[in-house]
Amino acid sequence: MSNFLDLQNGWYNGLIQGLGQSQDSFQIIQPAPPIASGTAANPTFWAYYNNIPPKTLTAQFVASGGNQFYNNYRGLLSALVPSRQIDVKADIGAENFAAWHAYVQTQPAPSMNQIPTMFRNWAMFNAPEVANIGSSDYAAILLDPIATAQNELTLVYTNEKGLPVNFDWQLNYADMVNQLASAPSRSFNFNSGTMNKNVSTSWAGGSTSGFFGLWGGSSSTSTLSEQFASSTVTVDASFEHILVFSNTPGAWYYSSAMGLAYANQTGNPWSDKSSINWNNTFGPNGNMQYFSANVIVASGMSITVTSNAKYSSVDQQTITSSGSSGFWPFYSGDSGSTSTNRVSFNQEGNMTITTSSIPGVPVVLGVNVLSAGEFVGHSSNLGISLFESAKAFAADSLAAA
Amino acid sequence: MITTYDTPTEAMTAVTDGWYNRLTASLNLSVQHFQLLQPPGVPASDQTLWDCFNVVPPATLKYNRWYYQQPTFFSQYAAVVNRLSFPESAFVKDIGADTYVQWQAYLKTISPPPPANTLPTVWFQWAVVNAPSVANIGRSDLATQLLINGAQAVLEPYQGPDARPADFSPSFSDLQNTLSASTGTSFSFDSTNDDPDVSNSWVPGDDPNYFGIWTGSSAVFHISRKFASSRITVSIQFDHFATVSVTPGQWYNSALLHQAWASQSTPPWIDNSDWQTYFGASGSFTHAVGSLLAADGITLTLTSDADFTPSEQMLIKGLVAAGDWPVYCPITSPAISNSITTGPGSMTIQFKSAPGNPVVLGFNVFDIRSYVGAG
Repeated sequence: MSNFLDLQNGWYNGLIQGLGQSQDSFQIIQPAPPIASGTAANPTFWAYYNNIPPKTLTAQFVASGGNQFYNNYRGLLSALVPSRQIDVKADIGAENFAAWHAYVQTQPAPSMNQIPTMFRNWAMFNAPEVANIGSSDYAAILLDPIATAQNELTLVYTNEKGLPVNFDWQLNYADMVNQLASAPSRSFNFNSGTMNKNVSTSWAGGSTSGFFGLWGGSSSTSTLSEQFASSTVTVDASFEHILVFSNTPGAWYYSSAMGLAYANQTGNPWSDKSSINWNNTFGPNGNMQYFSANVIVASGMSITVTSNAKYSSVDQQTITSSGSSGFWPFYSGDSGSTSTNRVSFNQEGNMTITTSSIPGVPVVLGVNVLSAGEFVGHSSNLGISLFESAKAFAADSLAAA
Repeated sequence: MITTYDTPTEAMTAVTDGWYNRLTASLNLSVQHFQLLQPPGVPASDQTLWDCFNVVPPATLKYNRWYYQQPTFFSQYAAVVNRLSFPESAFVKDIGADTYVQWQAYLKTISPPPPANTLPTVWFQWAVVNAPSVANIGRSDLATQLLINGAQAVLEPYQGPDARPADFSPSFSDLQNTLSASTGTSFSFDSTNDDPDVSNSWVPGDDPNYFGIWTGSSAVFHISRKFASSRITVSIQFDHFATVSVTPGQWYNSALLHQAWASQSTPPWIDNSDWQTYFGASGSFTHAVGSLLAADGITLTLTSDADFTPSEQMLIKGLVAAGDWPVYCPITSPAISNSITTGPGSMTIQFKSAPGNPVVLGFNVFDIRSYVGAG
């Protein structure tokens, strides 16, 4: 016999399987607020990515605007220093440096990107033994991931008075609506008799906050919810369109800088002058332990839930009158007036619940939550490879590029 | 559940806790965060909306705004940020005194002087040619200084004389739009079968309901206790309701608040004892509002079978404009109405709010640790 938590966990496993999601990262949002199109649609939509999610299988995502990726990233970048110091003068010799410096002054102001090649061309005639190391040094200076990230953030996302500018994400609400309209349909079934109720390997390890009972917010240990949970429950779910919408932060974000910070718990690139450190950023007290990488949105949702328990007429009345704010498994009337819940009982007292949403109106089903390590995984590799390639830089390849 | 009570506020507290459980159950609210607002907010502008949730909420399920005198969220955030100090920039030391002199000389040749946000770039362009070995540490120092100063400086226009009002999201019109796109609901409450047990909530201990039957009355009043011990039924309908996250405006920086919370000593604090003042057990900044619950188009009908005397009935009816349990909404605008009819052993109260007028019924409260993201 299952209790409500088993059922919820079984449904979670059924849902991620049905939606082709990974057990490592899927997080159900319930209940989700409506994304009302209008002036605030972009900030509301971007808040799904910018608000740092709590660690739970079914987070009540709307919870708080208190912890924000963009602000935290700005804080992080104030605590980092460049990856290494490159002493061009020592590498090419003081005399060569003086001669090269005098030469540069005679040239029309070069752009920064031209410097490595320019040095190499000059050095081929004037100091050929240091032509490679010098141009390589200059390239490494230009490519430093930390200094570049800081420079970008202060130049583009800080105004002339030195104050922060609003954040953005690459894709906006309208992009999401357009992509959703052409996204594939999907349907799946769920049966509590054959469900897998083990979520111990999922990312939150079966943390239970945010669980509700049979109808929205009812205690999941109430008698009715238990009766429901111990019966055979079937779910038929279909979605006209379903989309896993990936988004990336705007140009303010340098994945390689954050990757380097995550990959090194102490020492460089962390500045010893800042009280922001690895532990209070990515550790248990940290403000960037998790990230919402994708939002899963659907439209034209239709869900039918049946329970073979026998509900007495009093129970039936309680269930029917206890609010239209949503039945298991989707509690929310998330797109507002756009989705409906209906409950009916047959002569044997068996229950059928149908939930449907109006075609074309996006309903947020969940977000993919990644740990900081997963989120920066690729980017830290990228940061290191950038750094390696900067060290191994050959001027020819830049000139040819 | 009808019980006899020993302490004077217990009857009102029990029936209000029962209402709390009914409301949270019906609207999918978490008892780990939700708090009732008494009286509720009836905003009519951005400012009145923000005033309502710009607060450090007390640790109670029943936030009586007449009883609890709470500082604003903004005042506490600003006080914390003003008590932080960051080390002097190491720019001069990092690039060396000679280079600094040359850089200053170069800067003077640029007219007009470069705006703050371009300084690291201007430096870098100059230094790649003139001081390549310190080009990156120099631009990092300048950028870091901008990031740190910017987070604090962004607060300045909101402080002192001619201060800008601290803004938040949602705006009043955003809240109206969200509500009009949100679902409605209806549910009912009956004190004979309610559940006053809040021991699993975020405030399980002693947590009295201070108001009695009408807004401003005391739970200790005989008339309130008579009401609370009667059979009370409520049927309520919201045309729309929504839980909306509350996000502080541009003046707020989550990293700065987290840094203050995560580091107890100096730096970043100017004084070692400051952390306790704000975040300690009896500190002034231990909780924050994460989101609000608002409803639009409320229709509420309450009945009580209390055996009120004619003079008690007159008193209750005479104070109809004060607003009554459980919403406690004073009649302060034509959009809100309250009416009471009484007879022997029966009283009916009808409360209504007209569509388009959001009523803020409560908050989702976070302790400061979770608010800044530390789980």
